[in-house]
Amino acid sequence: MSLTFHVSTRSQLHVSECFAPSSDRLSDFVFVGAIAVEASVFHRLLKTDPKQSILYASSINLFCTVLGWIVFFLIFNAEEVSSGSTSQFEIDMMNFIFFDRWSRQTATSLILICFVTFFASFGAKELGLISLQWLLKAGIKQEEKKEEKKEKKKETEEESTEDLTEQKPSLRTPVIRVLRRSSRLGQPQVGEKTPSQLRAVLFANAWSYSAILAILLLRFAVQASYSSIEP
Amino acid sequence: MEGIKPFSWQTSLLTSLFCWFIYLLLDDLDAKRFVSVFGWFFLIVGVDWVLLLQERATAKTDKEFNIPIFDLKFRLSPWISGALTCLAFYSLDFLIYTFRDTLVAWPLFSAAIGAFPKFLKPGPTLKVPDDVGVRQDLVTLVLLAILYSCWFQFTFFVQDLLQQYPSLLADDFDRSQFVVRTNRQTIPTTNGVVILDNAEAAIRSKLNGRSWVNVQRWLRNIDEQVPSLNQQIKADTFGNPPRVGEAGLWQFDANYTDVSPEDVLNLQAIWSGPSSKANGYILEKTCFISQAPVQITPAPASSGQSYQMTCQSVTSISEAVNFGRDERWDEG
Repeated sequence: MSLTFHVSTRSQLHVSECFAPSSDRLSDFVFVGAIAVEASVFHRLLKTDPKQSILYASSINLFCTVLGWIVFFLIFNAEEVSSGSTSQFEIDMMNFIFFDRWSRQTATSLILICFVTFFASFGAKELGLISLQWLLKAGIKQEEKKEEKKEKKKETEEESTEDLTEQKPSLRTPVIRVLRRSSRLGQPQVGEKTPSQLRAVLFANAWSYSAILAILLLRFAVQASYSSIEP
Repeated sequence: MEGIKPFSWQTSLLTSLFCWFIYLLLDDLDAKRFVSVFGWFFLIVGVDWVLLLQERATAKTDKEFNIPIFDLKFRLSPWISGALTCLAFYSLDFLIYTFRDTLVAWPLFSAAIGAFPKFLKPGPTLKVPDDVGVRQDLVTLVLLAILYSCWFQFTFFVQDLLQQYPSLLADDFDRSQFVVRTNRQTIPTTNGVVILDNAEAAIRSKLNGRSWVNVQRWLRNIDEQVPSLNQQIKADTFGNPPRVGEAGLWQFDANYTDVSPEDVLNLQAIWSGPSSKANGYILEKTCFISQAPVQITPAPASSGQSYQMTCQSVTSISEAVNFGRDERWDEG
């Protein structure tokens, strides 16, 4: 995004605008990293094929990012409407956007925000995955039903061979069954336990957050060493 | 002209041209609007058609550009048609009213136009695509479009902020992960400089016409004057009520020290808003005040003054801020 907007401000100074939104290198990196990590978790836990895992991971991460942006705009708009003067929150936010700087108090609230975001994004991702799967499957029912019948036959055959504790069809949601089937079709491993999707999303989220945290810590370390070198 | 088929892109574009011709002939605004709807419609259809044909022709020969990770084919034509559609809506004042909304809506319209052919079915009905891959592409496409839209929105959001806090532009953006400075040559100066200039002018106007003793008395009690001076200077600088949000983040302060023969008046503009250094920064202007050379007759207000005041140029605590060291702030 190398867009430059020239707009003269209304201030006395008549300056022309002088910035371009950078493509936000750090968050791009974090975004791609998160997708990679989550895709590999899906691949392992949901037994989806690699391409499918990447598509799942990228879709739900996109969904999450978009939600995040929308929430950000909502919060800022509400903040602007509610307070006439500049609030401390706005100052902190501008410090962060323009100067990449945060105070001790801001760091505390940032950690708190990350903590909340973890659970919020977990919910959003689970929701995203469920709706994605629904979007991908809904409406394709005619062929589906036939397949399902076949599948059920297969399953019952398999169940008779597998141990009984694992197989409780009443508990299983259709989504899981879909995943289960695709895993069966992909790599027919009889007797392998398929963990629930919720668990997979939780793990994926946890892993990607750990990765992001590691990246950020590394960045802090690099920055700290830079600033110590500088006079 | 001979070889044009009735159902082709040429017809569409020509119809559009015809509509715009009619548009020029008409005087009535409503009628113009009515005709321009058709003009735009045929233009968009025609352009999209051309681009589609172009795309088909080059698809076999050229290497396609895939968006990495998402495994999505990048197509240029929806972006162009989308831009045209947005401009059409904007010029018709329908749903989109500002240039900003036009840019924000652009990716969404483009995604809609790009996705639309996937829902087509032979005949006048629509269908939901039943291929999983196509559906996945559509989901990604829509989400990406919303993301682009958010980026545009963020750009405008940053612009809004800078309009409300123009002094930020004088600071150092190098560490920012979100914005990049593009005008390294012409970095604007911070409003603190204007504040200090206005402060000097205000104090001069207060001192004018006073006797030297009176001047000294006023300066010694300047602490009491600071609040009212603060208000006046801010009104001079930012208007009353202030035009920009940053007015509340500036604070004016003055210190007076009585050292003969030249007394020192220290003017400060304190910025407590966002800055690249912790806790903002302070701009300072030091003025030396002394008694004017003695005149034979006591000076009336109009001619000479009882004091001499010389001010040095502005200095700053933070080096990162541009406070116009070598600049033309004389005209004020």
